[in-house]
Amino acid sequence: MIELMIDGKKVTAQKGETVLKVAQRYNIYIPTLCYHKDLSPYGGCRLCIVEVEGWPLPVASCTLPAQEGLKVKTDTPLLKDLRRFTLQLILSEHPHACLICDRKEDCAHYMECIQKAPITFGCKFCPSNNDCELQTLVDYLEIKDIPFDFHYRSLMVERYDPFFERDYNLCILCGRCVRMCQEVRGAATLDFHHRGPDTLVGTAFRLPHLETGCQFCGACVDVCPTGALRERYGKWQAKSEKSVRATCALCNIGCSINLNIDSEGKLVSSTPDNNQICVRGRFGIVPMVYHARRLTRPLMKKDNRLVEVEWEEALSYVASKLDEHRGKTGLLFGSHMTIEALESLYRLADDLRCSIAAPLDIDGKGEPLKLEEFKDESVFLVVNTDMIRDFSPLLLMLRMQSKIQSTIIVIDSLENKFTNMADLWLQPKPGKEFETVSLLFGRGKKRNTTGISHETLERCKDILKKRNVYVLYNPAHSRRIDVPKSVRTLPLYSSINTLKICELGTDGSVDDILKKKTIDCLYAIGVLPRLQKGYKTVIVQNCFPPPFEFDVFLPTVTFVETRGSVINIEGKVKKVRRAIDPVGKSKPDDWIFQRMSEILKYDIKRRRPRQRKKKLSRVFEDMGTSKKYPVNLLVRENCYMYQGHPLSSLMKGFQRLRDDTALWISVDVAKKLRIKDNMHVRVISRNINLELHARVSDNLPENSVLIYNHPFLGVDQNQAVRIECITKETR
Amino acid sequence: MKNIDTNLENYHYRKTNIIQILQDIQSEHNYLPEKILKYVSERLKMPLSTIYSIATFYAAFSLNPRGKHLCTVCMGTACHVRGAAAILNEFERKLDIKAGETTGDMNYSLETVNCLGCCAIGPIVVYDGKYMGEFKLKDVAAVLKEKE
Repeated sequence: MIELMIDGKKVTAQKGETVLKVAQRYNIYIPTLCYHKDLSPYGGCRLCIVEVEGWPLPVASCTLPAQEGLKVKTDTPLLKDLRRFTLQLILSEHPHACLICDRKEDCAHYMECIQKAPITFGCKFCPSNNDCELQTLVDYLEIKDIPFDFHYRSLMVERYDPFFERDYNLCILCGRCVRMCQEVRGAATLDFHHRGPDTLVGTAFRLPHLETGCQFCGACVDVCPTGALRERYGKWQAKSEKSVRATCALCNIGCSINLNIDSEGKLVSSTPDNNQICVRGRFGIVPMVYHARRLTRPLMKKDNRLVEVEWEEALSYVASKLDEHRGKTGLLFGSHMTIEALESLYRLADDLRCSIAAPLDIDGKGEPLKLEEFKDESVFLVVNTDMIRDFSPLLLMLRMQSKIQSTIIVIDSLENKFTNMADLWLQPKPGKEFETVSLLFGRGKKRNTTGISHETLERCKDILKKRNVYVLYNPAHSRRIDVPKSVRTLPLYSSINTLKICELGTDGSVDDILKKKTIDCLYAIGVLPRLQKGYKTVIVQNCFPPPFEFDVFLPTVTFVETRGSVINIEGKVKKVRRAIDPVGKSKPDDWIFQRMSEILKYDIKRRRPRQRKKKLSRVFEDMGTSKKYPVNLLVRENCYMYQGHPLSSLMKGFQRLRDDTALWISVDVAKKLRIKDNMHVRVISRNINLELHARVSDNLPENSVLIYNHPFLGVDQNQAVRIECITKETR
Repeated sequence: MKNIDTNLENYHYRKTNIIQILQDIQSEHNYLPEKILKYVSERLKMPLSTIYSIATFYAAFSLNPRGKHLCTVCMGTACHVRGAAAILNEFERKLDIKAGETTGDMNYSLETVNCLGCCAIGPIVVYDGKYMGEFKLKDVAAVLKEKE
């Protein structure tokens, strides 16, 4: 314990703690700009300078470790003068019409003044007006004028990337975004470039972020103290007045998020809650909630036309139909709803004797992934999973948990950001990933047909020796992994509530129900199955319209408009909150089930749902190309989904990030068949016949094509296919 | 790319040797080609943004192809007061390019430097690695002629 004095107050500090941190702990305010609690000290802005008794000059407190007996002063006339001078210098390069103005106060209250500065750096044209750290500092330091000539950088605003925009004219070079990207996210997309007065923040060769390793997590946007980095959606919307701590239910990690709401009760943005989140939770939620294609009124088919109806009419119709088709109803549901809704759904299904299924691959007992159990010096063997894209917050947590010498080995035939950042990447031939795992642990066939050299495998075996090995894999594209008992296998289920559904069980897979001949009525809740026959009644419960014909549409809410709980990959139960009122006339799922059972006069509150069979493992066939089907089709799970809809089909930004609805074609196949981007192609195999648009990618192994699966395509595993070119039109 | 691999091998694939690696690439190609920097970044597992940051920080590195002859005019304080600005002006006029550019025929590149540390003999011009002190305006034409 170190004792020192700050502003005449006796304070204690831990070893290695900086003076600034100690002061903040004791609620002593020191102005800062480049400092951020999650980032390493930088000492760049010099606003946090303090005087130390006996030292000739002031020093930056953010880089000054606390020492025994220091006598620190944080607020003296000299410091105020120096800070003011420093900030004036910083502001000589930052448009400051919104910061220094003799009518500032009137403006805030009455907005009476006509535009008085050029548009480009005028006061009303900064997206972070009233939400800006510079404004706070200018007020604190009472700066009334800038004695230097204003230098405007005259840079183009970078608007060509999805999700966020960058106006480096407003940048003050505090380096927070750079440190965030390098230290915390490990993406290192941003860095300073050039030198002296020409210094700027940006990507290598000033490439668009889409062409770099950017994950679009938005962490840089959240730490920017100015308006330089801003979210595109809602950039000019009202300032948020309150925020609700909730949970993101777009994937199985269930990150805590803050839902920011403006004074009219409209959702403005979703930001991390002192943690790291991914692009889905940061930029996906708000545009999805207010999506133009969202249906918010119940619809019913009357005389072959869809008409808007009241809830009571729709529900009593649905209830009568479900009653009529008792025992002959197939109920398909997604895992997006709350646990409470899931339980009422199961009880309703029991009463109606429905067969139910969810589009999940449940492998094993559904054990939770306990982060605490990971030891230091462990090796993570990740098979067939792009953890950066699909599980980036989890990856960051894993790295935090086992900071010391944990090694990441990736086995994947596809190249992606994750394989490039891994410590070792083994690239087997397509479909040979699991054989590689068996070989690494000396199991299975002795012959090596994986395409990986013997030396590489031996080197990898050496790394695995005498270390704690964890095999992480996505059950959606893997058969059971064959490893010795000492090695832990951890399935990465991608959708939230999977553990709950594992516990409740299902009556088989979605395909089983779709193929069942006895079923007359289909009730699809947040899933879009590929229908294989006609039904007497099709009921859809979703936020967005399905791509097939239906008789009744019941609009549900998203997870920000309902309360309840969800269970994540770690087995933690988290709360979803009702941050805003349901959009339009949409209703929460549990309300719908509750109301329906009231109409049917069931009491669904008391009973426990009936136990169903638990396991749901798929049979994976070997690919084996032939003359008729010469190309390998790789199928990967699309983890960017909500209620059966790929996010990329809902939001343009996600489509630009990765076009999930396309057929990705390797360069050599494209060359052979003369296929170019956006051309329409047909994929034919023994089981499928699909028409898709093409995308050529050099990340694919030779002689292969790739599909990101979603239930509507009905392709769920690797197979040999033939590709036919249909049109040469471009979309 | 073979040369790059031997270059990287010489420096044991260490990230800390990045400046020497870049210097070697620069002396081989006369500038730092984007393709090669991307390759170096992959091999060293070093972010491309960091390499770009280093390559743009040092005036000695160039990301654009340079001409056959490199002419550097010192614009340090001592040289400046002895008329470096006029010398630079003369070079710009004679070569019909601005400082930092290369002539269309790829023969000459003109650059400025902030100090070369030999202020006593200023104004100073470095022509293809040769230091020429007490440079005069009329020397500009002579230097350019000599090399033609």
